[in-house]
Amino acid sequence: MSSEYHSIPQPNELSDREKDDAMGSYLMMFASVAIGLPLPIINLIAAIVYYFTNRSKGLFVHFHSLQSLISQLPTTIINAIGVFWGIRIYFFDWELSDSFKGYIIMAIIFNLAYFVFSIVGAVKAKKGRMYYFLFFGRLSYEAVFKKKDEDMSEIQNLPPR
Amino acid sequence: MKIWRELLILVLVFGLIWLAFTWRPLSLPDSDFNLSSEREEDLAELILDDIKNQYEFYDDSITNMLLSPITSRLLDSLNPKKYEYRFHLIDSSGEINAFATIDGHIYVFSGLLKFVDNPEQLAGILAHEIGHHENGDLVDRLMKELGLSVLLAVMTGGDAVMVSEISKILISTGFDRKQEREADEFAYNLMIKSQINPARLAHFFTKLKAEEKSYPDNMEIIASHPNSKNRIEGALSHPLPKAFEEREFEIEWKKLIEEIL
Ligand SMILES: [Zn+2]
Repeated sequence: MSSEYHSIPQPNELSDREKDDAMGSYLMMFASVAIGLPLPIINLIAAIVYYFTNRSKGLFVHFHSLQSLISQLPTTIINAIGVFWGIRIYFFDWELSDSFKGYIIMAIIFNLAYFVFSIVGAVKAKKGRMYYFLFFGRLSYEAVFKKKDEDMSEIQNLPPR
Repeated sequence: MKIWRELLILVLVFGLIWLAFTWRPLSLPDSDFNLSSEREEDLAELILDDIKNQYEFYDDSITNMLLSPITSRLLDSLNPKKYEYRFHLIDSSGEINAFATIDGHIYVFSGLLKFVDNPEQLAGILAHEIGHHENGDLVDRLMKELGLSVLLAVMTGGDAVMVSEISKILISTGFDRKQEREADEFAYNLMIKSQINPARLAHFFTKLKAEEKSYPDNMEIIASHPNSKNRIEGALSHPLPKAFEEREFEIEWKKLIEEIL
């Protein structure tokens, strides 16, 4: 029997090393968000580098580091827009519009939500558990666990018919 | 597919939160937040230092000689007053401007002294700036803008930056028209109390208007008043008390300015 998806590793099948690396991807991501806040491009680069060094360490680590990478993209973009909008206001009109205030509050809420979800993700990963963020969890699952054509072609030896 | 539904939820949450807070923005700086007079005094000194870094100032002796006959007459008829007023004279012939910061500080450019025909016109402008102080426009503006400048100060770091942001806010024009009208109204009344005809301000505006093209439009005194015609009429039509009689300053203004500046 062949399924469309790879089976999800269970906690007792995972080494401590894998659990630590999976947890580390979350901690690394929001540390880099904090460092890169004025210039969100910096933390994005750091995040991508971390992802590529870790994705080969098994499906479990791959899933968690992908989830934490793509889930930080919206926060990064929101922050970047906020910073550039703020600079624009600062240089051109000094008028704090209501939509800018609303945007900043929304950005703060998103950053907090991202922070909380990352903590939960890190704790779960340390325990060897899967944890799915809204949308990003499903997207990462699809990307990591779905069998690709080349995976199928690797199966050359079959039991007797 | 479930994944698209989740994406839709996420986008909706994003949009709704933004919309919700735009609709009813939490007024971050406003309301209960107030500048204590001690803090205002300290901050005013820091702003003075910051402006001193940008401009040359005349000595107190020259500043007093030129301004105090005018300012003391205005301040004598101002009772009660909110601040101990301090006037500074900036050496910049090119700028026809005067502005107020906080805590009773008023800055005058030497270009303005050269531009006015007589001390009565200058008195009108100084009365207008005093009006911004007495009406609380400056602290009001600072409080309104402080949210953003705090944000920027945190972003760029450092207190010196914060101070120069604040002085930038105060120097750059930003009163609304209502505040300008009220400052004008205040100026007319203070002028009358000081035995100066408010029409002097109209003369000043007329002169400015005539030479408008050759001067920058960032002057505090004209910036928020695109309609200078109304303003001239306002100054001319301000009702005078029955027995009003103007008492001119006994200064040969043009000669004095030529000698000193
Ligand atoms: Zn004004």
